[in-house]
Amino acid sequence: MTRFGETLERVCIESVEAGRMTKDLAMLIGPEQPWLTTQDFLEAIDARLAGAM
Amino acid sequence: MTREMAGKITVQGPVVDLDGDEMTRIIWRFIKDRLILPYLDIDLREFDLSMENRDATGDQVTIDAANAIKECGVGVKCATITPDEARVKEFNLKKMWKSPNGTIRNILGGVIFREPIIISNIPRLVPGWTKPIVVGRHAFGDQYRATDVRIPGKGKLMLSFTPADGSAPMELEVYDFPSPGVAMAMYNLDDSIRDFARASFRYGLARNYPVYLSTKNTILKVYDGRFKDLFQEVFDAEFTADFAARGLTYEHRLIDDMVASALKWEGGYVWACKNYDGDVQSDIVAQGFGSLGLMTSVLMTPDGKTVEAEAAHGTVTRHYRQHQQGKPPRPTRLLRSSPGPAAWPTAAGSTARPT
Repeated sequence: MTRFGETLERVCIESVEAGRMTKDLAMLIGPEQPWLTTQDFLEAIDARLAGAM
Repeated sequence: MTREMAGKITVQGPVVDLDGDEMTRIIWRFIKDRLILPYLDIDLREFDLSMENRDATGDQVTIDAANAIKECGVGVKCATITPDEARVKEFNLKKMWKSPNGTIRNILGGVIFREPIIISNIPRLVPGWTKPIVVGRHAFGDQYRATDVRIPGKGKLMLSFTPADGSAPMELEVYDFPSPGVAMAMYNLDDSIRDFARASFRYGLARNYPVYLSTKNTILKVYDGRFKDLFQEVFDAEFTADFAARGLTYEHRLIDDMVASALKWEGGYVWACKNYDGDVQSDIVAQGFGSLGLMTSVLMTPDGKTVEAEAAHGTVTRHYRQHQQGKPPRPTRLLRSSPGPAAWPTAAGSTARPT
C-alpha cells in the first residue's frame, strides 16, 4: 500500500520532469514549454502508473 | 481502456472521501476511477461536500464528514467552494455557509501543515530552496479571535480579568489615550499551545525534519514567552529521546531571525508558526516554491492519529467555465457506480492545446 502511494507520487513528478505537464506549471518554465490539457495530463499519469505497477 | 488488475492491494480500514466542487470535482472523479480504484481494494466512505449538498443538508454533511474522519483516522478532501455573496446568488443558497475546511478544522483540532512538492525542472522564485519548507500554522486564537475597537477620544484603556473562582480580579492600565485611536485584546490557551507543539514535533518526526518555532518573545515577553516555554516543556517531556534517536533538533528562533534564515537556508525543516505568522509565511513560502498547485496541505491532530489531506487551492472555476461550455451543465451525481473507466465527462479544455 505504501509502495503504491509512493509510486503514484513518483510518476506524477516524473511526468512533469519528462516535460508532460499542465499549463500552470509550463508557464513557470517559459512560453516555449509545451503543455497538456488536464485530461491529457491525467491520461499521461495513468499510463505511467499502469507501467510502473 | 479497461484494466483488470491481477490482484488489488487491500487497504486496511476505511478512508473518508470528501467530494467537492467544479473542476476539481471532475478531476477528483478521474483520479479515483483511473488512478486509485483499479489498484486498491479500499473502503471509501463518501461524503458529498458539493455546494448544493451542503446547502441541502444545512451543512450537516460537513459535520458528519468531520466526525467520520475522527472515527476512521484518515480523510482526503477535494477542493470546495467557500461561498461569498456572488456564490450565494449563483447557487441560490439558504445562507453564506462557512468554509468547510474551517468547520472540519474546528471539529478535529490540530495543526495545518503546508509542504511544497519540489520538481527539478520547475523553477522556483527562490532558487536556493531545494528542499521543502513545511509551515505549520497554529490555527487558534491570537488576532483571529481578538476583540478590536476604535477608541473615540481621550481616556484610559483598562484590561481586566475576573477569575471564576471568586479570587481578586486583575486590572491593568493598558494606555492613557491622549486622543482617538484603536485598541485590541487577544488571547490563547496553554492547552492549545501544547497541542500545537505536539503536532509540530510529531510532524517533524514523521517527515524526519528538524523543528523551529518562531515568536517575538523579545517584545511580547509574557505572551510569546509562553509559547516558547510550553514548546520547550513539551519537547523536554515527550520528544527529546525520539528526536535524539533520529539526530533531529528543536530550536526556538525570533521571527525576524527566522524569516531571514528561511530565505538563506535550503529548506528541509518544519517551521511552527503562530497563527498570524503562519497565515503570512505560508503564502510567501508557496510563492517562493513556484505554485500553489504544488502545495500540499495536511491537518494533523496532536496525538498524530488523525490526518486529513486537503486541497491548498480552489476549485479552478475559470477552467470549469470552459469545461461547461464544452458540454452541458454540471456533471450530474458522481456516484462510484456511475461512469465506466474511460468516462472522462467531456472533451475538456476545448481551448487548451499543446503548443
